Amino acid sequence: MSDVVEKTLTALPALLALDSQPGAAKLSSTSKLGHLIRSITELSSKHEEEKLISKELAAIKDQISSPNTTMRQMRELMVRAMYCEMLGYEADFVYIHAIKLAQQGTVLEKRVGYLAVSLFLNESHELLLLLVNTVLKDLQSTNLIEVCMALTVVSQMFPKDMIPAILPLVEEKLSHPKEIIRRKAVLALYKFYLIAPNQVQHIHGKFRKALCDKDPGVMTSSLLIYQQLIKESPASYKDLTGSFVTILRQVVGGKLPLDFNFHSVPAPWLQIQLLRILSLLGREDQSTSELMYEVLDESLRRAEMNHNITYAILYECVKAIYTIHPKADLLEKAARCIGNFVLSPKINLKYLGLKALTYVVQHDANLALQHQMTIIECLDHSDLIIKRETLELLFRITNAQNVTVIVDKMLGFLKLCNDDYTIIDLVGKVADLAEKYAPDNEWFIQTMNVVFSLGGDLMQPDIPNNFLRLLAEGSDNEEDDKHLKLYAVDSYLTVLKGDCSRLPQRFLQVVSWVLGEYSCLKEDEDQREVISLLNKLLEQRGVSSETRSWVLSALTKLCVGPGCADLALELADSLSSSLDTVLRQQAHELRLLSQDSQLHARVLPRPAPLDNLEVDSSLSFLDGFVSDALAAGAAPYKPPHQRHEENQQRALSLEPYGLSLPVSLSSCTLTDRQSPTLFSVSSGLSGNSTEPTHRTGANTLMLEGVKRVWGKEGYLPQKEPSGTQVSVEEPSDVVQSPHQQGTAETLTTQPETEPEPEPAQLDQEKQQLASSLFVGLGSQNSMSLLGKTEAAAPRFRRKGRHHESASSSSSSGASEMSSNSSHSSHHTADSFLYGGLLEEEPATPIQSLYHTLKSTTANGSLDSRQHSRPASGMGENEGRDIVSVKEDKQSNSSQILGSDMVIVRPSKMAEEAVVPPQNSSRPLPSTSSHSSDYMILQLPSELQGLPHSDIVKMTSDSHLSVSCCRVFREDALLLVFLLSNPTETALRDIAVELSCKELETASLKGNVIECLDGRNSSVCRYTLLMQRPHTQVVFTGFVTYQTQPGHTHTLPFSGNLSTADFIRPLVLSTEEYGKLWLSFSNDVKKNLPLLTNTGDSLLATLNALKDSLQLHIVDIIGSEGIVACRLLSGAPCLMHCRVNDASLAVWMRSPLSSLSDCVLYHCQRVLEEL
Amino acid sequence: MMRFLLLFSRQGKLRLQKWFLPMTEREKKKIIRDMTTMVLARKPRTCNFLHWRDLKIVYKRYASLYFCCGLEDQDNELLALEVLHRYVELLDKYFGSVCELDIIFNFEKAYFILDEFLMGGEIQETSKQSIAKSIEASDMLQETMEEYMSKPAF
Repeated sequence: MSDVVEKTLTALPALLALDSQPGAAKLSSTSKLGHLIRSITELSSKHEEEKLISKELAAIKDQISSPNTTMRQMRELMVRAMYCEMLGYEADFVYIHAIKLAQQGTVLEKRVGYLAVSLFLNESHELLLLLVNTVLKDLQSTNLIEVCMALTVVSQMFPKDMIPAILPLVEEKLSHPKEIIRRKAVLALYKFYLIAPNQVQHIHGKFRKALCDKDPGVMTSSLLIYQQLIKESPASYKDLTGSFVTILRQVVGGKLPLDFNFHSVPAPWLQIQLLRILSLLGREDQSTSELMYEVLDESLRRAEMNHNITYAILYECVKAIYTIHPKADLLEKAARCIGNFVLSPKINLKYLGLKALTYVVQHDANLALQHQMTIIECLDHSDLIIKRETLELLFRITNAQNVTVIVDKMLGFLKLCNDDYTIIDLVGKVADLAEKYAPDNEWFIQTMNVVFSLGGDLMQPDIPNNFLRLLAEGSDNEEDDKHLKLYAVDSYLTVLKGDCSRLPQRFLQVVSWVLGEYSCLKEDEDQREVISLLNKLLEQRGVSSETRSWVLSALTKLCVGPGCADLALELADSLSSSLDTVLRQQAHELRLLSQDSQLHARVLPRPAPLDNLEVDSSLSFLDGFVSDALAAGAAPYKPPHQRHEENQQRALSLEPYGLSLPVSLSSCTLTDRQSPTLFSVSSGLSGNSTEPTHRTGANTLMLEGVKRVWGKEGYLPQKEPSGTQVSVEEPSDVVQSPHQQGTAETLTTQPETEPEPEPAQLDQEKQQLASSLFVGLGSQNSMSLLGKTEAAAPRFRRKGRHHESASSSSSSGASEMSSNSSHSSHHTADSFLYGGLLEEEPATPIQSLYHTLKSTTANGSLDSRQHSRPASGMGENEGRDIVSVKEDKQSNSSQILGSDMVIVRPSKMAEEAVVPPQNSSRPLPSTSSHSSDYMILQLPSELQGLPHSDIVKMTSDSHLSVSCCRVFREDALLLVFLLSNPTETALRDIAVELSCKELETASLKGNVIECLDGRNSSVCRYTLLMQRPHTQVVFTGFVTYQTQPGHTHTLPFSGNLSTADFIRPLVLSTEEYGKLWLSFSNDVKKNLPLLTNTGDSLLATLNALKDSLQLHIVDIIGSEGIVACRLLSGAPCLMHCRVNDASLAVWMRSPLSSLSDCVLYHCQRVLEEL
Repeated sequence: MMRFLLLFSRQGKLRLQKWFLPMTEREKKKIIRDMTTMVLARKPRTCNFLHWRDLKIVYKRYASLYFCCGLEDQDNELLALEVLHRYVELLDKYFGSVCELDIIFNFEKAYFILDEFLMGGEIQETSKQSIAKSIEASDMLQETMEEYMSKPAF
């Protein structure tokens, strides 16, 4: 068959030459589809179209389900249905027929079928499963076209979980004789790599083969994969640099067949791909960069033709030159090249020139100076896109001297812009610049006012939050602070006096917070005026209830002193019947506070003391109450997610309602009234705190200064723990520009010399603008103008950082730390998965571990063992085959316990039992020769140091037995499968597959073994990661092997794992614990049984938990203990235990609420079993 | 990587849609609507690039048809413009001076050509001749099979 196709393919051009009109398909306008299309164009209204289409669809439906419809008719129907779908009408009844068509049709119908499937279904559609078989069949077809179609559809729409089904076949296609098939296979694998990287781990070697393919097309496709791989870990592919450089040199030199030319440029796509790869490889690596200077230079030189495609290459070239380790003359050439872009009359090139400039000014700001007049022109360009790009460039070169002009330009653009995404982006940038470089208070406040009114409710919430924090914390200069605050108050009073019906809610919230907090600083102003202005706001329609809360909070702060009480009462009365419960409560608080000025002064001291602002988010003061309630038999509090789960389990709750409610009810108290936004979030758990200054209003704005001492005094000493400060300013590496010298001259002379003598007036304006825009650029020596340099010190330096280090530890510090740590831990988890675990393993995939029976009496057997040892040399590199003896009968028995895995924790005892001393060849007592376990298995020596479980036999048959051992690595659970061949014959093509839907599994080493000799064993390792905690997971897998060619056996196995296998101790100090505790809010509480038979019951219980669950006991103080663990190297879980009569009140917190549940569950089980 | 490719007429009627990443129907509808309004609102002699959310949009008008594609951040706009151009060249070669009607009436052919040219949002074949060859190959095969099937079976 394939021969036939081949012949057809080769004969085609000749055949086609006869037919002068290749578009013979044009005839189909007379078809039914043509008819449909024509009648649609004749219609005048949408309504008529709908009618026509529904009629059409009904006709299609009718015909398609008739059994007499041939596949050929089906194809025609399918095309019509596709057309209807394209017009936006759903035709879901044809989906199944599309699959059928792809399945049963001839090549021609199949193609339409596949197209229909790819248009109709998306990757989560359930019908897609039905396609797998068809694709499998087509992939194995001898017809090239069918294979092509299958590969196309596979790369187009196969989701992650369907890839394993077809992966082997696609992989096989990598060595197909036809290059088009190889190319498609590589592209399909690239797609798989993008969506499921660890499924194609094992093919990396074949990618190299594709890179060396004799067909340039296949090689080009494989570069896509390499680009991705190199992006992820450049270090591991440095050795390929030379090859890439050679390829690029050949391409640039025109060594490829002419067929690959595009507008007489040799293989531009390939060139660009290579340039990108080179820039990834050469980044921050001088020696690698040096390899590519020459070829980059050549690329720059060769790309001289005036065509889009050469500019595309130049653009990538310039980017590469500025990304890799710099070389002076190349940089100069690249800069000249950018000039060609920027000065081009073609608008597309100008656009790209601006982009390139934006990229390079980060390295060398002076380049902007050279093109300043062009930049000015672009700033006033009629095309908004160009303008936007110019602003982006200006943003990069902003400094303290030109900030006002640049921000002005940005705000001007914002007023014209109506694209939400752009607005959000630009507003953020303006706020950023304003905060960093503001020349004075007035300008800052005014700019922020514009930001708030333009950015509206779209902008990132951290902009107002940061702004308010900045106001509240102030700088070191008190006088200056006061001035800033006063100016803000003044400006907001003016705002409120005007028409504020159109102001965004966020702005109003900021205004009311500032007025509430700082209007008292204004001695001359009558507070009543402020109050009445705010009052007016409250009455305005279109003000959201959230904003009303903010306003009311501000009013509560202000309503003190003579004359105000009446106003307050009036207000409270009018709101006391509000439908909004939050407002009603606030009104109630307002009434009480305004009548009792002493209370007011205590609750809302003025000026607000910032430093000792404390929010007891852990509600520790309720601990006693809660444990009393628990002791009295109250149901423990369950977080909503848990309740929800339970509700799903049983529809009808037969249990009486618990007593846990009073806690949350009593918590809604006076002091909460400053927390307008927090209410919705935390009304269930936010409580009044013992500290008088529980100001949650500030809580939403600044989670600052929370000093929480959980439990008894002194767990958290009031000192600044070192290492919490997160360094934001990272010094960027300085690339010295060759233009550095004489920058000062450039700066001063440029504006005068650059422009051509043009209409004088206009030109002068532009020059003025130029000098104001580019001022301060030349003086900057380093290329980093992103504000990262210390030179441009932000005007408003956050006081928070100093004061954090000075006084108490703050919750923001804590949360910063925790988020940072969780981030970094996540990061390491990632890099471990793809980097460490996979790459750093010893390179020997198969480690031969075998053991034969030892008997002192039988000399012969000893000899035979010694013979078999060299024969087993599969693990030649390893060279540390370990002959060891199991002398411990107990552990022997645990190996034979059966397929169900027995969890044996790596306590010291167990470890000693399992790991016999290395290389000990002491003779065994002859009794053990009766043991059914003929071969004694052992972990690879490098794993023996790690905590691990007993080796448990999973399954076996007459040819192979499989045992398993769990190795508890810090960052993952390693499942080590030990395969042993007790027979005398060798097994071939052994493959181990493991799957578990809850876990991320990745095969490390040895899951494919070509040959396992008789009486030999081999090791296969899988890493498992648990992202979401599950109490129990089941993994399944199978081993396939061949006893003789063609005789494949499959040996399935399965086992259980629990969360406990994925928990690792989290070692931290009591202080760190305290901080981390505060940053989490998911609580789980439960009473556990206490081990009472020993002296110190708390210690005994915690030790029992520690031994069986790998927890870390942080500290024990009196009757309380704190324990910490984490899920692999990810989310931490903290546990606070307190002895309460005969039980242990456990209180857990974790960012993953389900983790707490799981750990608690295991703790309970452990204690119950003891 | 190209995220999507849309062909629509000056009236905003969709002629062809290709999504290289899975997307929900709602997202697709939203993108189609946004693209048509954004691109059709562009004045002549403005640049061919736009921003949409975090994507770069590259479009070009050929006669009455707009070709519009969405790119990821690291992609090269000029190159994408040439990809569009190459696709038009391919269509032209196949249909013989292509016009909008050709694509309306034979939209499935336009899809087939695209599938030979791009795969998973990346250029698969840059040689014009080879693409034409493989498309014609499948076309011819069809015709011969059809002829074969329609022959009387005696």
